[in-house]
Amino acid sequence: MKADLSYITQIALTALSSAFAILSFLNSSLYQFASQYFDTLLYNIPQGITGIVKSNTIIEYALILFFLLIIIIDIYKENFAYIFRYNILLFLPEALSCSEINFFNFLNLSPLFQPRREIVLIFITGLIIVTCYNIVTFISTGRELMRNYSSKGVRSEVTSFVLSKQTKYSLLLGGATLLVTILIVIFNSFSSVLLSPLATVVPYKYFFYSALSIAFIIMGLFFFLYDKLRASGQRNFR
Amino acid sequence: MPLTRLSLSLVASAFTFILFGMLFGNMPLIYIGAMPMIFLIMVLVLGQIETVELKPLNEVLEVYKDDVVELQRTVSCRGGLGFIVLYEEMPSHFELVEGENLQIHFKSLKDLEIDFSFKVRCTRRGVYEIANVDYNVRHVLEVASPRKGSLPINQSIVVKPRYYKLKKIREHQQRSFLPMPAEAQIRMGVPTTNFKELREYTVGDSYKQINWKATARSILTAAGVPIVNEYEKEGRRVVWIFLNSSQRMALGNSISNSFEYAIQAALSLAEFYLDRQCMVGFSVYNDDAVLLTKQYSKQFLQQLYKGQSTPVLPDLASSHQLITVDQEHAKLIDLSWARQYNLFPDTGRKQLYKIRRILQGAGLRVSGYNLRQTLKITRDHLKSTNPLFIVITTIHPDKIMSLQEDIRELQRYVKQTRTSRKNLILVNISGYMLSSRDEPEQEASHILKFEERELLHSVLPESATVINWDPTEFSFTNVLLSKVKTR
Repeated sequence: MKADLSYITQIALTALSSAFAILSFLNSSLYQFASQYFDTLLYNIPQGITGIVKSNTIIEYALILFFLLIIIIDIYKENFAYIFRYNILLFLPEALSCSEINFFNFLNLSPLFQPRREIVLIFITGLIIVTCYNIVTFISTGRELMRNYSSKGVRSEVTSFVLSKQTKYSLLLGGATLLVTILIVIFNSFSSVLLSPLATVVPYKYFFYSALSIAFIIMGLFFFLYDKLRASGQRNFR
Repeated sequence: MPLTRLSLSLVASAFTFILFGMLFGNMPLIYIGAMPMIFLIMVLVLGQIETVELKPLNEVLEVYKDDVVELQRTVSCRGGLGFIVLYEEMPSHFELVEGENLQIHFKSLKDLEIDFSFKVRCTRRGVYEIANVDYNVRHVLEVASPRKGSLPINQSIVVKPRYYKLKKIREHQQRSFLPMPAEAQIRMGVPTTNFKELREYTVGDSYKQINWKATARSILTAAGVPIVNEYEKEGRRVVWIFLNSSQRMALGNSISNSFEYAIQAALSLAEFYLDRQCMVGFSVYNDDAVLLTKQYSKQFLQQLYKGQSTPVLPDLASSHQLITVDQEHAKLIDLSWARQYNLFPDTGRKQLYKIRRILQGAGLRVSGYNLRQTLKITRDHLKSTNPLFIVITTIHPDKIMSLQEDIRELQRYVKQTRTSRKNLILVNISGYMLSSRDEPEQEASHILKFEERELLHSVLPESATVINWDPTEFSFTNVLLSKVKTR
């Protein structure tokens, strides 16, 4: 089952996500700070080395090598879930640079989280990483399930066919979600302009919007608990 | 639609992003957090497969042991998206030969018709019910819990014991040593009023015998030959087959053991003699069984449980209020149902059908009687018939004395003549080879086989014919053919 479409898709998406995460980190102010710090360190080690090797080159190569190594290990283990944790970690410095409330000011660390790219690019990077994570997770689950059925005697051609179909639907739904999210963001930017006059009309608007939000949260919680109770009831009945 | 752990992890990741976004006033993180939720909603909207249907078959398949049967199913799935797992549990004695009884099919948004089939070999006789096909409907991305269910199919498979057709010897120069009963009558005896079958007219048949309605029906299909009624003939010879069902007959494995081959032999011989216009009686006995009175059985059981290896046995009692104790298992067996394993002599296909039906459900230790007790029950039907007895068993040194006594008892019902006519056939099913797995065991089996044959010949009377059958070497037909000699 190793060389099928789903496996290649998993590797490709993991590599794509990792590439975007590295790119995001290299464009963050944290990376700039770290490279300057490394430059200082290299300056103090034997003379002349700074002329040959730049600190940013070392960090870039180290990151790429690190991720390559993890991808190889993941291919060997057939488990791609862990690499996305590192991807999110690498993406966070740049994502936090878009924050309106900067807690790092209290720690005198605000220069570490300054935006160096357009907010749209940062947002798209984040979307791609999360979409890739979702798709890869679903394919991994499907693969595990099919492996289980293979061990029970189902032909490998059948499981490969079902897995390839599942991969196609994962990609399709992942792509559609990406598109819908972008549309929501665009719509939201327009709606804030359109609805802002309406918001001023409502009296005690903070109270009104808070009550509305709490009502939605309670409703969501109610449906969630109802679903869980029904599921447990069915299990007990069986 | 209950959610799975995977979908809950999606919700958890979404909330983490949104929480971080709200904490830092970070809109990109809030939007990124919304994405898994949107993904989950879209996936859940697509839903699972809604309805799964299977057309119930309500049929009964009749096959012979070791036959390969093709089982076909048509399942239709409607609504939703995802994949369906179909599973059909087979009886443990069925061997999957071709295809799979575990199927996975993917359903896109279109309706799906699944036609699948698989072939199974029925390795053991019996009636098997296939009640339903189980299914498991799974979501395309596993975000919703799988839905399980069963589709009623109601299919019965009747696996009949296989028997070997023993044909007539056509060469005049050849003679079979397979004895016929002593009171042999000619084939064309006085017809009774018992209808036997319809057959084609042959020269010499009376015109009165012609069945005109049957002839009219068959005139379009057959070659225009009249059809005549055939009636059972009077003055039949009696053959009585005794089949041992003791635990010793389990030599071999659960599918292929001495008892299974003994059933084949019994059926083949019954068919052979019924074909030759004989009246065939049939009994299943258990040579481990000992009859005790109710009062004495308690003492006997106590002795067994105390570990006394040779408990004192009482004389056989002829009372109806008896309890049987299986010596090996010390288990009380009720006699009320034991009588059903005796079939009194009769002729024709109907009798063969009855014998086959008994053998279909017969298992080890089904009978609560040993051979002598069986003879006591059936003695009224044996008297003055001078029958041919056939005993199908497995010889064991521990039981040889008991067998000698059984044979002596059998001889009481047979007329003693000056000729060397055979009136007893003892079929010894040698199961040692069935249970031997490697070469040393096979060698040991050969020695045991030799030993049992020697033992048999030393104890059996002149009037007995011995058929030693090792099922791993020859078929039953081949064994009987070895008894054919040229004059």
